[in-house]
Amino acid sequence: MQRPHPPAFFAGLLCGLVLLSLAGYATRLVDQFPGVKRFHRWINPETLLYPTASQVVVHARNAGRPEQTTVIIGGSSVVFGSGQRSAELWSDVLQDLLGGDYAVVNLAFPSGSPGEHGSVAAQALLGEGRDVVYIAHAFPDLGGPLGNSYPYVIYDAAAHGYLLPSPERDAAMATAEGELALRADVDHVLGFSDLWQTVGVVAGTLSWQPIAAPDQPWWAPRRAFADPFPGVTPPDAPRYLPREEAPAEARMAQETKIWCDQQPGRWDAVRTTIAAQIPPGLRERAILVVTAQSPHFTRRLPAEQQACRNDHEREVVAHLIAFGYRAVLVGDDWSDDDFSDLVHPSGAGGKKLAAKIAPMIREIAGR
Amino acid sequence: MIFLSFWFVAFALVFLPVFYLVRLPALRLGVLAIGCAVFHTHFAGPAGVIPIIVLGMLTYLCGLSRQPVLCGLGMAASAGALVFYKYTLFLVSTIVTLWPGAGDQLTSSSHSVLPAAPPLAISFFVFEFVHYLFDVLHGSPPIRNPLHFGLFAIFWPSLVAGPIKRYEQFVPALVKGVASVQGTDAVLGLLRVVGGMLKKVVADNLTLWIDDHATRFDALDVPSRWLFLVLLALRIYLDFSGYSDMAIGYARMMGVRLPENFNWPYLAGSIDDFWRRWHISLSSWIRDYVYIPLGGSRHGLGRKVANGLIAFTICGLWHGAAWNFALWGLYHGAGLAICSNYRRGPGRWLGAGLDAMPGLSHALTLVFVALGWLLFFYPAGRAWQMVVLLVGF
Repeated sequence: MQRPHPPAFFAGLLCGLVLLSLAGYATRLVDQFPGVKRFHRWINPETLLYPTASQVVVHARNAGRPEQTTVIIGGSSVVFGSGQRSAELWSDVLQDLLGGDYAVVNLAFPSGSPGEHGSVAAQALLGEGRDVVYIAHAFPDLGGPLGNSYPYVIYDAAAHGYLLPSPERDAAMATAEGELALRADVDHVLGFSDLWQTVGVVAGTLSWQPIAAPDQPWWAPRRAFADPFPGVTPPDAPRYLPREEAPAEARMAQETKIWCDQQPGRWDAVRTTIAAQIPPGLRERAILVVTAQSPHFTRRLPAEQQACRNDHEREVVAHLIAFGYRAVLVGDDWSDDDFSDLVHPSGAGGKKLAAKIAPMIREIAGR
Repeated sequence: MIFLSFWFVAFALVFLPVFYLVRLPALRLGVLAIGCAVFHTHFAGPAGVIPIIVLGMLTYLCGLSRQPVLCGLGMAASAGALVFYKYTLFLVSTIVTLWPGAGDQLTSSSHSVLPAAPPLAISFFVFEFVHYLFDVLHGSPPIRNPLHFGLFAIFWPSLVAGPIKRYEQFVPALVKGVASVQGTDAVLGLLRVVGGMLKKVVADNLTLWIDDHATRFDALDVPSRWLFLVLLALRIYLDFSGYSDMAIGYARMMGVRLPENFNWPYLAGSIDDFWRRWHISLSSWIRDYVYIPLGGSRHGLGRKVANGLIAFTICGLWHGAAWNFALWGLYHGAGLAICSNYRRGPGRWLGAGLDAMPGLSHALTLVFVALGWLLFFYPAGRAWQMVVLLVGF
């Protein structure tokens, strides 16, 4: 092997690093998800693609015109639209109800929390002076002060300066393990996450993952993957599948135990968590959605447990309002057909959700 | 994976420039010592550092004395610490399996005296301390300079996962390297690090595939099961050798040459050839400090085989405190025993045949090693099921 020339080597290394960083910065200016109605499995962490804070902010910014009110949806699979196919998505129904003065963008992620991608984008756009309303699914998938499954996006956003002030969030970040924060700070300078995730979206990926698409090889650019649940749910499609029975009943039993045996001081923790995820600057523009669960399952519980759960859902709403947020309970008067399983609204349920939320959005936006 | 953490990146970005900028070798050694201490403390935590400091000081002082009793005590203390931290729960669970009545009391007592995790890299520390005292006992001069000993003990590139160093080679390499590190060392070292990282990226992808297919191994067709076996073998090689490459690369960036740990092991034509190429620093340690002290091959075939089986069982258990690791070691010990002795008597015809067909010899070795990985990664019963499924039953 020829003897290396260290100065040239390191100069080349530095140049390469700078060029790649510049490429990463450049990707932050372009919406890598044009036309995406929701971050389906092929463009979310379920298949090892991690949309960055910059990517969701640009996507939300480009979803509407500056003169429109941008309605950002954040939280878990309940508002992501699990249980709804792409042509019956509740966020599209909401868009139709609200009309042309609004631009609805769904930034909810399965297993997400209200403080993650949606909140990040809402805070960023609000900070830019855009008119924003944030719809957050707050319960029962609240998570902790730094979210649920995707704290990376909160650290990423903090490093980019997207977030509004929140002492509760800052306190949580100060006591959390430092690797994510360090990563976000380095990434802010070097831009590697934005570059790498963009490469995955537009060019292809090196990360094998076990969920195989029917029409694309695993290495294909994620942009080529369509929503895995297109169209509308056929009228005769089975819901409440037998394999979901046992997990749903187990979940209900666990939740009932927790909700009906409340620990003192629990609401303080909820207040802190909500304030960290949806900081004061976003509070006035946010609607926290509390969802009930399908009567297909809950009616099997003893009457006192059903009553206890119903009371708890109302108590959650009451506490969120007491904390200074707008909150609404949805689904408590729905039928079996309005759910696709224990927790997720069906297409019919999604329409009811949109219909209930739309007036509240108009009230906030003032139009 | 410590070398892929952002804390480590920040550490390296601060440490390496300071190391290069300090020109005086003695000062550089001091900077290196501080860097090693910071690295070890961060990743091991105080609870992990204190036992190593105690064992290290004991080893250093016992070594200086050169007294057989003290050196022996030092070795026993190190070995005892390893057994205590790493194998107590394993021994307890084995006792409980054989004597269920002892169960709750013994288990809860063990948990109450043990820390949540053994000190970081204690397996590597103990092997290096035992090697040190053993060699001093047998005439090698001890390390007098405490800074040199400290660096031998907690040299950050090899601290977490080897290679296992021999002080007689390491200390001179350290002193020479630190004094005369060149730009080419930095370049070649960094290239080696990058090569190791690329291996780790491939290994991590293979891990996802393997973990997914392991859950449905029974449902795979036979060719897919063999593909699983191949990728399992490839994964552990890339994962482990990748880490070694990074350790060797970072050391080289400081001018220090560490021993090679892998030499294209899957090109081996026999099992003993495999162990001359795989985790070389460990296999040579087992040979020098277990097999040979037990008597090696000096007391007849029976003792030779027994010593080999014991040595490799210990080698297996060193990898993990579970019976499947011991069985894996025993499996290789048995393979080695056969491999090194089958040419006696009628076996010489088989040996001649394999010599004439090196490809067959190579293939048999690969199959033997690959099947052994099933025992390494899965409980014995499951590993056997997988072997049966591989042959189509």
